[in-house]
Amino acid sequence: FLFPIKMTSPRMIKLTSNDDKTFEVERDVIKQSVTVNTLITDLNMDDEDVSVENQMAIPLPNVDAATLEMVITWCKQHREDPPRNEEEEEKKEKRTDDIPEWDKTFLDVEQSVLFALILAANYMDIKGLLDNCCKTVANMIKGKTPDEIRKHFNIKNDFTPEEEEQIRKENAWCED
Amino acid sequence: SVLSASASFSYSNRPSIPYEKMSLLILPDELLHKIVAPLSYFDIHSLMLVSRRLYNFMGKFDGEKKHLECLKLESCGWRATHSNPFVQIKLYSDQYHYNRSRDLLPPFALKELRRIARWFTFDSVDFRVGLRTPQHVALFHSLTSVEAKKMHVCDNFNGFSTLVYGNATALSAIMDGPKMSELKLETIILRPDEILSLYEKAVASTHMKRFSLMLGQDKVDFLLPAIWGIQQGYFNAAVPADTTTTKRGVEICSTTDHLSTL
Repeated sequence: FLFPIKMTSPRMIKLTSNDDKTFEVERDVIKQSVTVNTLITDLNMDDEDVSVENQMAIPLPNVDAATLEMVITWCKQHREDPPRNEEEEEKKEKRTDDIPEWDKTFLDVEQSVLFALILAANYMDIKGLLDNCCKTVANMIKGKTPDEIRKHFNIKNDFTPEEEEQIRKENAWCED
Repeated sequence: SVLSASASFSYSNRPSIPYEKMSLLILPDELLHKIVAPLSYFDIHSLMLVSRRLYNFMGKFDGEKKHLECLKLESCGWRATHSNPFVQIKLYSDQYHYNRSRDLLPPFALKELRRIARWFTFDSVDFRVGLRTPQHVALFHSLTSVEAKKMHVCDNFNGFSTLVYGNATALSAIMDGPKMSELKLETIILRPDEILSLYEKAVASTHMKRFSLMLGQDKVDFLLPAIWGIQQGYFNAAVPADTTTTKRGVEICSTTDHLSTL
């Protein structure tokens, strides 16, 4: 006897950004977001036999569409990554020279986009993305003088000269 | 359900941070913390001078800051503990803490160590350099005598000698190295189990005035050679070292009082 083979398409999840754009993303891809994953599990959405058309979208009120699109792209790229062991990650030496090449290119964006991604990754609890974004910012800071940092990040110096001098004194040994 | 209630809500008017306002300064503390964690102390210092927001962040996390300093120093291959981050830093890169997988010192370590060494005074630093690897030895040789003197001192040592703490292989390489005469190395503190292989070389050095012994209480096997060395005038006695505290009991003893300790 031949049984008909049921072709199952990957389970899709709908996400809505704070500017009301809805994205469909594979369940397997978005599992990297602890926030979304927990929501799906808590609401038994995995058990529901509901087509994606009839499915409720998960609202992400802190993430705009452009950023969410980038987050999804990152999650797709990293869907095969082994699960992170956070305890091990904590113990690891903190480095910034271990950003994967793909991520380096992906995160080579305007600062505003990068900071939006950091906030989104933090909100959606995607540790791999958050780590690599923060390392990218850390690399921008490394080796720069205060003036260079201000210039790079467009930050205004709001210290009085006296305050600045005082801080320099506190840390005199750092000064050449 | 929660979902349907949420989904029916329109987010189009929900306030969010506009892109033009996205900047380092809008990040909450926990994210700033994540960014600065892998930075060097010098980078953190630079950040503190950038703006009040960043200065206050570091100030608010004083405990964290100390931790960050340690992390940074560890990234250079050193182990650091702090009593006061701005006054006293104790650096260790010895066999107790050193991570063998990181035997290669990153290239920036030398520059940063020099900056540290230039600033610290003898009574504010306990810089025990674990000279375990060829890289460490090369680093040591590349330092000027002034820097090295500042680096290799004990905080409870009132003399003006350069004091080195390391294993036999590394110290032997130092003694054979080109900077030996320039360093005017007067005192070496050794672990007892390393002393036998080195004392002849140390004694042969015209610059060596003292050859002291750091004697852990569990090293009784080395009492006899130590006492012999003292009797021969090769070593001064040293009080047993408490290796767990920052006030390590490593002292250079000039009187026979301490012989009773042995």
